[in-house]
Amino acid sequence: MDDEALRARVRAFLAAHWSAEDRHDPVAVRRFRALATEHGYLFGWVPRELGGSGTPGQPLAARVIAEEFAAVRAPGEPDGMSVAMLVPTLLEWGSDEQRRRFVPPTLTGELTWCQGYSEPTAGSDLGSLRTTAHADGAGWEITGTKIWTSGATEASHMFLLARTEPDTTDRSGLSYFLLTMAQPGVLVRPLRQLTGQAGFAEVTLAGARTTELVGERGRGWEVSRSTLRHERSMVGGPARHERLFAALLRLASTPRPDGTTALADPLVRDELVGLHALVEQQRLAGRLRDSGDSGNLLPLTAKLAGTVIAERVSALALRLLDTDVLHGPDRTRWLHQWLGSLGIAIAAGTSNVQRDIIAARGLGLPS
Amino acid sequence: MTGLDDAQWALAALLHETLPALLPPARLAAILDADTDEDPASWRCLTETGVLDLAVPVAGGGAGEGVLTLAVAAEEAGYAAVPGGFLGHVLATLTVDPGGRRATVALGQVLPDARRLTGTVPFVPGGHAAELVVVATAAGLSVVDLRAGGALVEGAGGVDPTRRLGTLVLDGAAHEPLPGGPARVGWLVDAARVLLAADAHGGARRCLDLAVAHARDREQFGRPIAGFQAVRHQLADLATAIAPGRGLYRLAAGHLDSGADRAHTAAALAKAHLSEVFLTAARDCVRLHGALGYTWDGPVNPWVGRALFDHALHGTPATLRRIVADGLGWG
Repeated sequence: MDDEALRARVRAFLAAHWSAEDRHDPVAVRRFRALATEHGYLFGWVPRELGGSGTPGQPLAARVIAEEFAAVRAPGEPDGMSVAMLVPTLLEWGSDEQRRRFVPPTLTGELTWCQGYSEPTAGSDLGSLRTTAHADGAGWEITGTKIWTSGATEASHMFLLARTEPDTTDRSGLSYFLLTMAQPGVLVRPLRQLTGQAGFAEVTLAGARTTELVGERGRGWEVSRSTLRHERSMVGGPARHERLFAALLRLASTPRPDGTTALADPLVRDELVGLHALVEQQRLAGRLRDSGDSGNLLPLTAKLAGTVIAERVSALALRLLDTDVLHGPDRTRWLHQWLGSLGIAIAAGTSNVQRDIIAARGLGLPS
Repeated sequence: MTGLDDAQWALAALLHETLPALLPPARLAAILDADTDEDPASWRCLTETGVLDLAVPVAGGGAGEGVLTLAVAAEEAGYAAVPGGFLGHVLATLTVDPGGRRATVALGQVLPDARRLTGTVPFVPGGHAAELVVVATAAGLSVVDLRAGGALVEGAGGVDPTRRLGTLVLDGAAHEPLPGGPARVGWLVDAARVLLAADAHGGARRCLDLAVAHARDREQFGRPIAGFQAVRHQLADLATAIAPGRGLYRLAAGHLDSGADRAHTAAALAKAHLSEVFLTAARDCVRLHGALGYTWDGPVNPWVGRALFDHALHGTPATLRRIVADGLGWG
């Protein structure tokens, strides 16, 4: 089917089954997603027997669908950690039984996941982590501390890396596990972020139990790579930039007490157009990737490019807020974005780690 | 909209393969100090591969291609720093079949009197070798035969020694109006912006490749400087700025070919952004080459001049961003 025919079909489906007023009603959203999946518009990359629509189409088709859904604010595939990161990893590495047990309820939102990677002494040098997993016949006993774990207070499950080979200190001795959070050996202590909100947590694993090893023992690093790959494309996702830019444009268009708008300032317009170019080129870069027109460099730069956008948006927003930063109506949202752009620069591999990866793998520089 | 067909892919691959080999550093350095920016070897390549006739109608023996295909070629011309009148010639072929003659465009000034062409038009690329020139008048585009008297291109110089600019002097020259009216003038300027944007993207890619190659080759403190994290991070930042850029000029070119209204804004956005990235890339490339980069006949200089040319011709980034802001209704 060509683009335009597909577009027309998607529009007709949305007109018949979606109303934007329903977007805050979780039941309606869940029902709509199930219907959209049944019609093959969502989760085409997930097999039918695992709760997807099993229509692995072209990426271009997925993009057309995503654009049409976004145009009427219909819920697409959730872009959180659970669906965007764990499901692809399980499809690649999980046993048949693990896929059957964990993929369908993750797609529906029944199971939610947090990521047990970072530790107090293992951040950028993730491969040096110290949490251990010990096999005792009945399964695995896991002991150690995970930290800066986003969403740990709400998650029903954690996917994590732990050391199964005691004589190792590097990435070679790690394995990848799935763990239930609601058990005696798991203690979650919320940590507040710079925004003042408890967005992440410290998770103490004191003999936590699991039987779910994903992939082979000792190959956890390899398994985790596919999760991180999905995390980076998530953080660098163009839809996120477009929403952020639209909000910034609204801020710039809001009349100030003296009746003027920041948008009337030629310097502000100049910076906004500069940002618009960055957002637009990331959107188009997705299409370049889909049409195979990018080589391996472009995907590796997506996260750092997203960070640049978030940081430039935050700088302009701060300028537009003016003294409202101290105490004003728009303060909280943009202060959180200004601070949050620092979080983006750190989460899922800091910007300096991204640069190391781009230099080594994208540019092939010898170390 | 941003994707290429097989023939366009093949064209890009062919030019990427052939052009840089025809223009090694010593040849480019020689052109910087030569009396002319003409380079017979690369021009012959562009002729023989059909690039110069890409936009000529099929009836005239060309390929009948549009702005997108020309832009794909322009990106590779930028990568290789192709000297001479490529830009002016292919822009002219978008509006007139030159019938085997060398052509260019004079878009630096719209002539107020469409009946009697008199006055000067600055910034004419490749004008000294051209036999035909497409000019902009209040009534639309017109073509002038430079051999027929009443019109000549004076001087050839400017900031980019690989693409010298002349001034068209008109004194009642005979001319033949082209179809399309005044709107066609704006369309051709937009096409020029798209080709400059594509050239800038190609030039920036070359700056990155040059800097990467230098970092691998150059040894200091007993090892290649590519091993130093400061160098690696500079290169990674540059790669991040350049890698996604292609879509901007491809989208604008597609809009121009389909006659979409958005073409004007998209062309301005593409050139504003990509020419600015090229300037950054050229400066970074000089820095990463150290004193070698700051040397006149060193490996980077051709792209420094080209970055300034792409930056300033047919609208600086600041001017173009005003056009975009107006086009998006932010004015």
